Amino acid sequence: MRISNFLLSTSAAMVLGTLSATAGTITIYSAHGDDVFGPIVEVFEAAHPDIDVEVIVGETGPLYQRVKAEAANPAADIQWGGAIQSYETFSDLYEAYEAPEAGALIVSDPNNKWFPFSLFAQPLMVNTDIVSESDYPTSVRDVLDDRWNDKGGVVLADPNHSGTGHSIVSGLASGLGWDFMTEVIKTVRATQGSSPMFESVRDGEAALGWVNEDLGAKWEAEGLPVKMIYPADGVTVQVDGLAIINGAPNPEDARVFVDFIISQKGQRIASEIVKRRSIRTDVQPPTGLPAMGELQLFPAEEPRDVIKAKFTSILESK
Amino acid sequence: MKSLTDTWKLFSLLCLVGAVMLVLVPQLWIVISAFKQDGGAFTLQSRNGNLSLVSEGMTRFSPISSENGTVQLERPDGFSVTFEQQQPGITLIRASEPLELVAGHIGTRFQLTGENVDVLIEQTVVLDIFGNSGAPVLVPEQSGSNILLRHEPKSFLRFQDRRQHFSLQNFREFLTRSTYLEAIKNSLIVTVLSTLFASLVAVPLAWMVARYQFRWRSACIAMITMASVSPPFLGAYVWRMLLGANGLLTNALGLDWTIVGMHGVIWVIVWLLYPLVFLMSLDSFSGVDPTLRESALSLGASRRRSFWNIEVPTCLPGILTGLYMAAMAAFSDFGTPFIISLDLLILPKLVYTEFLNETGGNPSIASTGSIIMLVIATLFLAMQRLVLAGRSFASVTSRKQVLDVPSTGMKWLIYGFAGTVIALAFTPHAVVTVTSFLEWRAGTVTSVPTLSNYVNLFSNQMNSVWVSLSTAAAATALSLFFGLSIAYVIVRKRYRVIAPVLNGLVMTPYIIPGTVFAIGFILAFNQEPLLLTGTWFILVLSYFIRMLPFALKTGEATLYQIHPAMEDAALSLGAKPMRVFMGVVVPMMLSGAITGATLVFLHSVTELSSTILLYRPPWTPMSAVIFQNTVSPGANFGYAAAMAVLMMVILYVPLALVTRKRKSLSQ
Repeated sequence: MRISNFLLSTSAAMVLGTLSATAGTITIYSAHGDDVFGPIVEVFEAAHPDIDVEVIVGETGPLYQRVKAEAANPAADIQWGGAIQSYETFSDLYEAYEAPEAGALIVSDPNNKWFPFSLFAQPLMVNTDIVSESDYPTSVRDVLDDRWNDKGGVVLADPNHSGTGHSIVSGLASGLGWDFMTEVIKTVRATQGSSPMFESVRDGEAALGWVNEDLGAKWEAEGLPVKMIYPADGVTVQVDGLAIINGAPNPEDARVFVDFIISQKGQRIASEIVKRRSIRTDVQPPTGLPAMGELQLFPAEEPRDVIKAKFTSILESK
Repeated sequence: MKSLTDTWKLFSLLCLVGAVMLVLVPQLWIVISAFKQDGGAFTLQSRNGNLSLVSEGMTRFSPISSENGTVQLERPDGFSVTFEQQQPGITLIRASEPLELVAGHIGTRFQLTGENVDVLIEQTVVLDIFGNSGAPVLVPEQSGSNILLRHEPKSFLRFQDRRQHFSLQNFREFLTRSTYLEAIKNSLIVTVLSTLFASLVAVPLAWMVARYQFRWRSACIAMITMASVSPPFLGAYVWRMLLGANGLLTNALGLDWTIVGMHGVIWVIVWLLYPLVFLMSLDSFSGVDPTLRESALSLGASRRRSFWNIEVPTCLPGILTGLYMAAMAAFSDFGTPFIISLDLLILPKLVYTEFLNETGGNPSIASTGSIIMLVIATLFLAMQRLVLAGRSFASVTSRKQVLDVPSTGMKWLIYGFAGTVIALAFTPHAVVTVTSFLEWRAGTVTSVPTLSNYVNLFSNQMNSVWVSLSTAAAATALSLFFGLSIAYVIVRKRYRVIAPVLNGLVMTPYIIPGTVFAIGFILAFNQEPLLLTGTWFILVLSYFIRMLPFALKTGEATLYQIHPAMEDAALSLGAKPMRVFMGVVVPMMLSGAITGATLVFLHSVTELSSTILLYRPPWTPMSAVIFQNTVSPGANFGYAAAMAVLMMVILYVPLALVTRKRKSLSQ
């Protein structure tokens, strides 16, 4: 990884302004922080000494809009992070690529635009400081209980703003029905984004919410006052991905990078070091997470626009 | 006199052209998308050989009939379309006009075109994890003027007409839906209350500091200015850390409450805003012609009467300008509510989340929200102009006030008041400084002391210091030059159309959320010959345009206190208009100019929202480094804390210089 720490003594570069993307450099817009992309990029660069990787970090939503605004003259080669449904929504922005290893993946894009990077279940998470152990929920239906009311309530990310919220609402609706989901939406506090949902439970602003299990596991391991609970009646699941940007300055090396991410080697690092479940069947899940086979999984079903509209109309009628 | 008008008019026209190029053109997309609406959409569900309409997510279309697997829909303009499922997985699409299949890539979606429509049809099937049953079937064929579609028998088909039409529907929706009305209401409450509280803190304090001589007086001014230097979002983060439901202070005091909510938003914004009101009010109070007060007193007016009838009216421009700037900052602040309110609906957050949305968002509604924000802001600006333009507050002398010696009671009042305000305003800074010497794990701070945050920082990111300082300095120089001269045009020249339009254009970027503003910049400057994206220049340009309002408004406030007679005198003695401006006006505007430049510089260095979309290595400013290390829940917060401290320290050096300059001015 090229961390730009050289002192900018040359005013020439300033006058020219642009640093033209040289061959052998790929630029990645990443919604993942250094803790996720760091280890993977490091191994990639060791395996491909001729390719330099430059990572620009941003929030998921703004990154899609940045890529969209730059479409006439793209500055980056790859976008990484965000639900695959979001890549579907913006699929015009990405280049199709038939990856040789696509067949080994548990899920792939029929249009060959996005590629899966990792997979995670979305269990419930309680704040252990404000919820005593006997009160822990055991099923999703427990979120409707009124024991959360005086403890900050239940938080759920609005699918109008969050890919995570979309997988949760859509998955639960398909698994447990819209009647149940309507009650849930009328009970919860809707957050505009997934981070506020995670962090409000961590900080004790809310008693209960959903979480992406890789983050929840990290927080549990660090001893924060949170506990993940995989409800017996069902857990939603989300796949997050990456894609090559249409008109990327360096598409060849971008493809090499994608191949690496979905390769067994890349996925092993994702699983062992970054603690993310692999999207390949031949890579073991990270230690500490329950096997997918033990969970009742509810994948997203209805189209995104329908989920968004239903959520909004229920929220506005409450 | 003629030549005077011409030089300034020419300059104003040039500024107007510049403002149009740099403000209006890049942001035109907002206006366009606010008045546009696409052709409507609906979703059909195919199950068990039947086809049914999904009642949600339908726009502009309404169903005419739905039976036996045939669904017919109509649009107000007369266009209608029929989906007829002939057998499971085979559907005929007919419309009131011939439809033609657009050749090209077909995976889960394909396009149709007709005389009045550009249709995208998209199929959604249940995502088959662990199954990988192969690509779903989706094969459209032209059949005369209809389309015969083979699709998955169990699927959703979404029909979207993407052709854009002019429409006022977005505004109708914005002003009738409860969500949006609630957001407008909350925005106004937050704006009014936080501006009110900020002025209750700042104006009396500014008056005391302007009037009385006391120990630590210049230190007090410096501290208040310093308190306004804060890395983005710092205040909101720290207050939440201290006073949230599980915050450090909340637990220590055994409280049962949380700062998260609208009250917290107001509380945090007050501490962001009061330095702005303080500095502008201070300039005005210090600029009051002492002879006015002396005459009032010698004519037998009481101190109280001279205060209300002389001082307050002459200081009104500065105070009102400060209030206006504060109100607009509160109105457009997106970061604070984002961090310290969970589910509060508020305009800037709404605009941000609808524009910069990973689920596609609703750009038309976001644009409409921006326009409505602009309209409200323009009303505020008009109000401020109306109050100021109708009166004269100016004085002829440039004699400085002599500071009074306070009574003992007053002295302790000042110490107590200033001390409390400074302590509260500095709480976030103090907390972040402490935490930068502690170990962070998984986004929470531990009690283990360490220096590793700084070691990492100094070995990796010193380049960003240079980027921040150079871009901010360049932006400050530009803002100062244009801010002061445009202020002169607005206050003195008052050209009929040019002056108000210029004023409005320059103020616009102040209330557009930074990220939205940045999208406009990318759209405008991402192609030859204006390829600026990713460069040092685009950061400078963005800071300049976004911070110019500070220089303009401080310049304007100062000018209102200077009587034009001074310039007339110089003119009548034969000085050229530019010489008058440089030789007479600028020196008298100096204190306002210093305040303006300080604000521009500080806000440029701490600017984040447009930076994160515009920067590209190696031009990575400090604010972007802080952001990178706070963006993900697993990020290195200690590193961000250390960078925040470094940023504050680096900014205090120029601030100290400014304070010394201000001190020498007042003596």
